[in-house]
Amino acid sequence: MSVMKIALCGNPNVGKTTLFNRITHSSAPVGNWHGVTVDVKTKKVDNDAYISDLPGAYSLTARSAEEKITRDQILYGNYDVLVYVAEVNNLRRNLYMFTQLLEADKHCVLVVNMMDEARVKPNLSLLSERLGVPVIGASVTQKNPKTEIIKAAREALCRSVPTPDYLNDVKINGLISKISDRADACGLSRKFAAIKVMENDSDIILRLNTGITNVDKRDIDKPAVLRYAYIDKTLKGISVGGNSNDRTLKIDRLALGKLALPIFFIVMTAVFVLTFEAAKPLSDLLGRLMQKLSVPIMNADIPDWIISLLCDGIIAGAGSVLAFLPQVVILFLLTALLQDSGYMSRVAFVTDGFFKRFGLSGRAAFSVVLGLGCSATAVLSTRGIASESERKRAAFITPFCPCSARLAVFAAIAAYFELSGFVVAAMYVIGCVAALAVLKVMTLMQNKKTKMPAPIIMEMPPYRIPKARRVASVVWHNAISFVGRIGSVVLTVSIIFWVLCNFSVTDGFCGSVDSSLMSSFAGFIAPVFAPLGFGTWQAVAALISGIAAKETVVSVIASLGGWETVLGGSVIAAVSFMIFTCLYVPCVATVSAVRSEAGTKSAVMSVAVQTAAAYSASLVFYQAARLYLFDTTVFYGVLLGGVGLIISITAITHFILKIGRKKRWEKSLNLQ
Amino acid sequence: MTLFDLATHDSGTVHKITADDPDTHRRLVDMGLIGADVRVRAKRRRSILVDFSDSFAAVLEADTADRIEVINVRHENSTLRKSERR
Repeated sequence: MSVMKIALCGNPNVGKTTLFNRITHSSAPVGNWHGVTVDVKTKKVDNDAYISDLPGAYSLTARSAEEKITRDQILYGNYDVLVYVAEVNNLRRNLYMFTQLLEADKHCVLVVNMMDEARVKPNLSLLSERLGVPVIGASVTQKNPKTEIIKAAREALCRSVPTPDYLNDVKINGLISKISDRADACGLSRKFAAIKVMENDSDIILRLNTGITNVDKRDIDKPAVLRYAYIDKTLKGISVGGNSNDRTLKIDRLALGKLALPIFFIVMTAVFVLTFEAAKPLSDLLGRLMQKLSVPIMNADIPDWIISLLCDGIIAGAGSVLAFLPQVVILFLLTALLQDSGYMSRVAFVTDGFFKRFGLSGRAAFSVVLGLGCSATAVLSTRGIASESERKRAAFITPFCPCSARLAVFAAIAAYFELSGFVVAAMYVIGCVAALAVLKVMTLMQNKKTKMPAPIIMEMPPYRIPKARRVASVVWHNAISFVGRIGSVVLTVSIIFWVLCNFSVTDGFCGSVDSSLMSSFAGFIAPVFAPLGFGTWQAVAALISGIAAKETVVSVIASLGGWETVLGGSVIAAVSFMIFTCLYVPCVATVSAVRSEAGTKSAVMSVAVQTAAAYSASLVFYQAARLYLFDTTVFYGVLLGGVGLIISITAITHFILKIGRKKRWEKSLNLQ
Repeated sequence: MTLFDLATHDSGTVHKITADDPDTHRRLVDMGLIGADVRVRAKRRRSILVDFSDSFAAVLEADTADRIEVINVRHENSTLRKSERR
């Protein structure tokens, strides 16, 4: 039996990845919102099949980056069978892309998913008979459909691909005769190529290179009308229920009504406060356990350097980060609940107007909220944004939103200096304000070059009660990933930093961090940070380690004597350090994600802008706070002067930009 | 009347799509909007959430919704919000 290549495809948010996870026993991210999958994932199923999960798409005329991936995989990916996943309550529209797979001569299996949510069960055998392809019903409450799908895929492979009757249209046949040679040369089905030319699909026309440019504009909508007529005929007598339900309408009446924005802010505040406050007792307990681990080692009869490595390097380093696992787990739990319930899609709608002011659409809100978990993943999720310029800007500013690793640093500082949870919440506000300021500057600078955000046409999923198993799976895998990072990156960095902080060139193991290699190197840079309140070499060493992964800032600080030594017990220096950590250069994984999504130039700019923003914000905060403590009157005087200066600079910049724009506009008029 | 002219809870039938941008036009047509019954679920200053033929709901930007011509309009709620009156 030959090895078969299968691809799972379909519209967004129909449960493809959930099905993929069940079939392959994997744990790819899922959610009740559009655009969770942004890349192709492939796994082996049994010994005779490979299955790939493709990003969601509405049509083979691709619009966004993720749709282009799906279109290219379907047309040129050499899959033996395409398993098309459709939602039971939305069959009419879901079958639209399916008809295009038949046009493209692809062997298909139709999986009607979410059968447990069907208002009226459709007659699947009649549907299979009419479409001419195997049809399977599936739902999370039924048994794993793996065997059925593989069997149906083999069956589909043996059958010939059915031809929908609308392809016998005279105009389509006329076009087929014109482009058949080029379609064959490009490896495309003649029917498919002809119908795409009729639709004026620029990508396919470019690929065919037939020289056809004068497509009859009156026929552009004809293929869609023919496809829907075919679908309506196929579904006649096969009961299909509606997707809108009373529960969704009732909740939306409240969540999207006049109170939409206050509800959104209450939800987000609740997420932060719960994350910080609910996890605190558990986090403290874990911290105490880690400290207790050191006691027997300290008393053991082993060489000093091993005691130092185990206690100062490993337990104080990696162990101190592990203490923040409860915060990370609660944050992932709450965001998973929001995603699975369908509220996350509403966030895009609620925040759309707000983001428009900064040159983005509400779709960017997904990435920003995802950034609370992991910035690298959030940057990759910007692929769902259709406009390239908007996508690049979203990828650029997403790392400003503090990720869960930065949360560990904030939580550690707040716990040590007994700062309120609102100080931690303020870091998120600072991150968002910095992102918006950078966005605004980018919008002003790129005013003419940048197109306005692409119009938002985004499907809104119904509200669903979050599935406990799915939420647990998301939390579990993210927690494992966090612990995995502690066991790999954090542990490695902790050991490397322990070596650098406990060895000197002349004496080898010196046991004193003050004469170590790291103290010489970081001590050289440290004066740069003195105006920010943390000009110690230990703070610099911790910040350098944070470039690998932000959690390591906590571990390195712990192994270098703790917050008291590093920040000198000053609360304002601690908050200044928090602000710097909140904004400075993102971790290597995130920079690499920005590079892949927005290019090397953007990645370099991202590092430079974030570091500059971090330095400026910390400097302003620390110096202002010192001045306030020193003399309140002088502080208010400087504050007033500063505000006046900012307003003047903004007004002058705006004026200069306006003149520049006017001149460019006049120039373009003259050219015309 | 365009789709964006409808107030919250108003309904009608999509008659024509006149989007300038071919991509947007294509996507709206691909989503089967021509001839679909529509009902406005929620409306904001620059976007609108619409139920299409009781089968799916989608958010459209104001510019896009302004390119969708609606006929047979039924006003369910005559009290318009201040922003909608504007």
